Amino acid sequence: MTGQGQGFSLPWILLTAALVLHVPPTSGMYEDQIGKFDWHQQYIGAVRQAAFDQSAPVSKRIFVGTESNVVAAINSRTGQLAWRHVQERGDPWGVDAVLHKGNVLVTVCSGGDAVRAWDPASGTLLWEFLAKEKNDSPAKALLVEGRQDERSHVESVAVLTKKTLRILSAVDGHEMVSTEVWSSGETGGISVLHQASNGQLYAVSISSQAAVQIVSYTHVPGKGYEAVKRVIPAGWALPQSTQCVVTGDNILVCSEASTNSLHTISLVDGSGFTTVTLLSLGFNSWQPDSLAISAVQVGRKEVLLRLSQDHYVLLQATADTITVLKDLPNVYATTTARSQDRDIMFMVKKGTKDELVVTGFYLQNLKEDQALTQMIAHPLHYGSPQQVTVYTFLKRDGSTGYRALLQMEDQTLLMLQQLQGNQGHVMWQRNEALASISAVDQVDLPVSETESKFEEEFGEESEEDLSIWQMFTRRITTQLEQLKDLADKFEEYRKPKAKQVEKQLERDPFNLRKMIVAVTSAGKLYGLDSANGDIVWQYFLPNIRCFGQGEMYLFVQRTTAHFPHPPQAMLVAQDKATGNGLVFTFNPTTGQPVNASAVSGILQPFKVLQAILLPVMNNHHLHPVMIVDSDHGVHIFPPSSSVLSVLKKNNGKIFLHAADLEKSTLTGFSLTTLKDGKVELAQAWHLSLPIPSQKIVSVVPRRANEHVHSQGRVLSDRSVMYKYLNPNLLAVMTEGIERDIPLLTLYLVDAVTGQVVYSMQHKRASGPVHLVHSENWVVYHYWNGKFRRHEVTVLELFESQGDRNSTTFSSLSTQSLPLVLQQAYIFPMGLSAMAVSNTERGITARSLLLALPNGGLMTLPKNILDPRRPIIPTKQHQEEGVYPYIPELHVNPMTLLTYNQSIEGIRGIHIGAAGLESTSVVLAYGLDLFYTRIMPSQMFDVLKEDFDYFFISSILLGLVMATLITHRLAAMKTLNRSWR
Amino acid sequence: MATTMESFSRFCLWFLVFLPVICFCQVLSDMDLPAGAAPQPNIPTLSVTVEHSFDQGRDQTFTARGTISWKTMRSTSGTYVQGVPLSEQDRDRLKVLADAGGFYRIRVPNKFGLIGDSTTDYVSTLVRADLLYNSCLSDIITLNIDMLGHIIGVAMATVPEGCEGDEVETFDLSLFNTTVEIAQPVTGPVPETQAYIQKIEQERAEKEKGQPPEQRSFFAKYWMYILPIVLFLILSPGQPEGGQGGGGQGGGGRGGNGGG
Amino acid sequence: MAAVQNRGRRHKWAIDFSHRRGDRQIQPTSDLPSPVGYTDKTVTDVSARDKDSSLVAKRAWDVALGPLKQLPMNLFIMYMSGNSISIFPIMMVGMMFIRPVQAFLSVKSTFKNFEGTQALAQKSVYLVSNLLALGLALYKCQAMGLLPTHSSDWLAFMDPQQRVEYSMGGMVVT
Repeated sequence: MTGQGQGFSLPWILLTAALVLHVPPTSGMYEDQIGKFDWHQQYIGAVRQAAFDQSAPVSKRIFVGTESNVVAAINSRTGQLAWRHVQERGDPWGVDAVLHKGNVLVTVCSGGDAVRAWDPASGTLLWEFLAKEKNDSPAKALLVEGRQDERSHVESVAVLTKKTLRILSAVDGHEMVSTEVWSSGETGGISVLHQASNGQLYAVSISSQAAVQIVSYTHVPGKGYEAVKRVIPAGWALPQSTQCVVTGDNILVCSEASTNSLHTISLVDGSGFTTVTLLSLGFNSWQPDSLAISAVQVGRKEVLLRLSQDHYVLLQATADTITVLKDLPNVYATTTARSQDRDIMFMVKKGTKDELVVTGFYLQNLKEDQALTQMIAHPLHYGSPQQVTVYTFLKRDGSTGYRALLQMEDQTLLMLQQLQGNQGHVMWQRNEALASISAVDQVDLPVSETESKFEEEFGEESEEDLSIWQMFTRRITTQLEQLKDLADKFEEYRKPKAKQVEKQLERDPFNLRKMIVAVTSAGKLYGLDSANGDIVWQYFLPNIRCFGQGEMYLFVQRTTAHFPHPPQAMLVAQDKATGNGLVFTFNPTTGQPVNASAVSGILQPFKVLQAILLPVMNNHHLHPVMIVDSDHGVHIFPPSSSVLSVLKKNNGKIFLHAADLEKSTLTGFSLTTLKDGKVELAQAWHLSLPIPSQKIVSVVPRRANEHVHSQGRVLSDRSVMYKYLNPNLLAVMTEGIERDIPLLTLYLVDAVTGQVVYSMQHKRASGPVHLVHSENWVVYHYWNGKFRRHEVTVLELFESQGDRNSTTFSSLSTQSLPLVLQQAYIFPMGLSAMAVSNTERGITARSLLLALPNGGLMTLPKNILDPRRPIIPTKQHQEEGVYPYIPELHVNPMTLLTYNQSIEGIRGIHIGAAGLESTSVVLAYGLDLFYTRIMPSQMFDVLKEDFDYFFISSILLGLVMATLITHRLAAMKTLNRSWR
Repeated sequence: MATTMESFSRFCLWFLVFLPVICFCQVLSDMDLPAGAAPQPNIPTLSVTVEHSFDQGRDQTFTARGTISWKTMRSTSGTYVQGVPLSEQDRDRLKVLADAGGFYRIRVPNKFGLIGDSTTDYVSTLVRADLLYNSCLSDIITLNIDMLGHIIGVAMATVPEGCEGDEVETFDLSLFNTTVEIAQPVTGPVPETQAYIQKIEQERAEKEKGQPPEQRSFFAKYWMYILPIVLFLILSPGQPEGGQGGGGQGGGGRGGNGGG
Repeated sequence: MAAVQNRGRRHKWAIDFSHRRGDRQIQPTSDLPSPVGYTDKTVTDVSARDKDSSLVAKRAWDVALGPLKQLPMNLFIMYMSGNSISIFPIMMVGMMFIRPVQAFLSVKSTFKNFEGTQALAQKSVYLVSNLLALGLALYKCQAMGLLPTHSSDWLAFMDPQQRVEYSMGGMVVT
């Protein structure tokens, strides 16, 4: 009996074990598949500070600190990254300072809270100093030099934050001195840190009480630093518009943009400011926000004043006078470098035509050197130069040569080298704007030439107005063309490298190759080839910026599917100057503006509240974009009567929802087209969430036009649980604090009636929340503060009635609430982004894509996150194929799409559907770009790569031959037997 | 090093001692909440005014419709009291709206009873006027509230079988037949580690329980295989002899081969 | 084999080198002397004449009741094969289906055998028993879950619900 019992339970144990150990479809790959379907591009972000390597005599590197808080070394010959470190994020300005001298490389970030020293050669961290001041402005820092054996060397690092001055040892980073800049009760604005040639340190701060405070620190051996404080009244000083700089002979020069004046004082013994107006210097035209002052070089007496974007003045200041040394009009950026004991000021100027000129003059005699001039073409898509860094070297003939690193307005880095005869040459470029993508889409490529001819033949315009004879000739010509194309292909196959003509990008049979359209926060638009990540086109809109939360709207109004019409996309962004809306329409496959007269977009006379792609089409197959302005007025682009008539037909059926994160409200509007053709929004519903306890953090609708193949779930008793597929359902996540307890609340809201379909709360849970909403389920990831762990919760919604009896879904007439199943899991780490796979017909099982904080991109099949997973599985569950419940989810290295690579700073994942049902294409973007394909249900619609065609066909052929031969043999044998 | 370890362990000890106290305080603060929210549990204390509007378009004027009241913070249903009956004019407007395919809207303030805040915002919803008309003003109003006294949202559904006759009579349209439901967020799930551990332990216990039979003797375990073999051996007479003879023959054969 | 029988009836004996082409067959020659004891004439059994009608009826009843007699065996096989879906139960179910269907298809030729007064009863019994066999096969299919009688069987053909209202929107910018 026991033996039987055992015999009965053994298969059960085995089955359970098999289920537990069963690894769901993984995306593990072979070594030789690396880079075959994926590519990875590393970026560093917009460069804030750059310094050429001085640690080795033959310098090859540039050290940069960027707005994305990255410290990196770039190989100056190739533009490749030698090393890169991504520091903690969170500040809008990025790296505060990059200090480099000799063998010392120190970076300051987070407003002075993090000071780190790196080994210039290998990029290893030598020491770091961390503080927790949480300043809201960048810190000032400099390397303090001491003298030893008549040679100066870096002794320490001085960091001046808004509150304190710290002096850290350059050797090991220990805090030598830390003094409060302000006495208690005082606060200050901007500050300057300066080291005089005698080693004395000066910290200059402008206080909010219209005074300038100068603190001098003198190093007393054995006692540390001795501080002497002076407060000088300065009624003109305004913290927000004043800039100060200290010259080599200890003169403080301040510029004040609102009164348009300069003020000087001696740091050592000055007791009052001398004021000089710009007008008295002969300058009166300036742009108010661009007045800026900067020191020319450490130790030099000149200061450089920027009057406007492209106008500089070189000044010399003493304690009571300011003289103009040189007027520098049409200059975008300047820098100084030293060569053969002469200081050269390099500047980037506007050329006579569309070109950039880099030239230099000697500061000693202010004479330009023609040998230092180089010219390069200046394509419009770069914008104007913003910053230049120059490295000089001695040429073989003894003259000075130099390389210039140029940062353009679109955040591109250009490395310039001088060729013969003042001709410039771009050695390499880095498109750093791609590190700050704010909107992205993947657009299908146009069909090939022959196919488009085919389309033309059956296109809409050629239907009735052609006679049979014309159609016949057209047919024949098309087929001849196809024949010719085939012959061409054969020729190409025979002689592969015979003619390598750059062909226009066209769609592949499975539509796996796409055009990635990326809009960056710098206003730069890129078209990337998804096959390898190469830039196909680029376009620059200098006058746009992101909306408040860092978003821009990118809509594909017309895809490539409507052949005679070109594809069209629209970008809705904010105008930099006015804050109004700006609309730019372009062809997403070529990057050309649709309207040739609106090359930098069309500025709208209103502020944008929301922009939406309407689900209707006009008679040119174009989806119009609806923009709601701040007065809830409606604007439709392009305005056309056909759209209005369609909208009118759908009166009372189109609804709009707007989530206001500030007020934490969610409002629904119904769209009504009035008789006079005006479109009006009337408030339909309103939800108000209490502010401190439930602040809206995300509103996630289901993906528009999402295909769901299976309408229900089959249970083991062969009944069906129908999915609750409300196309208007929103998942609204709120985060907040209720009675000192962090609280997360999820609302499922119907966007037509405002009905709260379901609401759920997690106490002692907090964000960041990553939420995915697809089909009939919602998955979100959050931090559980009670158990100090990350958790993932899944909700699945099913129809509560047994049978579905309607072929339509109407939120306005549906009465019943769905049945909600839910379950939570422990996830071993945090996330930086989450997305769900998407295929063309929705037949393929869905898979979640999780961007891990360590730079991995992981796939997690949705059926792992199934709220029906039972703790104690029964036979019914096994029949259904539900896994037994295990509370913890594991990060299986086999499911990492990124194998051994790290994709830094992923902020979003964009998923496109390929022409193959099994395949989705994935773009993870953030600081880096990573592109790959996923097959969540394996490649069920394509033969495997290792499919042995030869073997199979030879077997088939062999079998046919064997059949024929044996048939013949059998006939002969029968005949012989008959004759016997 | 040692001192830091010591202080750390002391801190842990302290923490462990005070943890139950903290938890208890937490529980207390959780418990006193419903009591504070509903001081007199038997009398309906919480109420809001419902307003409605027959206007379409951007400007909508709401007029009072009735009052919803419910007993405690944890109630799941409430009562609706009609204010003034629907006027002739309103009935006509509803009829016109129903014929034109318009919407009927209701709104309630987003705060109730406990929070005496002057700045009131409203939460609102809409329903198809023809559905309301055809149900003879039978509807279900659902209020979504939270523990602090905020009304998050309001939803309205009509009861299609609300009418008594087939035809909608105008006198049916003067009073609302309203059911009130109060909904609160449910508590989210947590990973069921406890149940899972229990299951694992149970399985282990079962395995342990199942293991003693494994310790049985060889014969006890495999008697069902051994018995037929033994029986077969017993019941086949002369087999050993035949085997011996065969062996002998084989030997002979080998010998013969060797000789040849 | 059928060819041999047909020819055997017409000729005394035949050699068939069963070939694919019938024209190559060697036709027997009838001018050979018949073997000893062989007569060309058919001898009719006169005594069997009167029993003939009852025999025919008996034989016809046998045919009519044949499918019914197979039912218990089918039931047993059904029980033995179980309800799992694998090759043998499927083959069995197939056989159970094919037999009655074949019987229905050849019902005309079978009915020719039924003569006399009981013909109607025999025919109906034959039909009913075949129907029963078919019913049994259907029952087996049902038990195995092969009949599309549940809503889940039609799930794949279900169209997604068309949306009546459209909703769009998202966060408010600026």
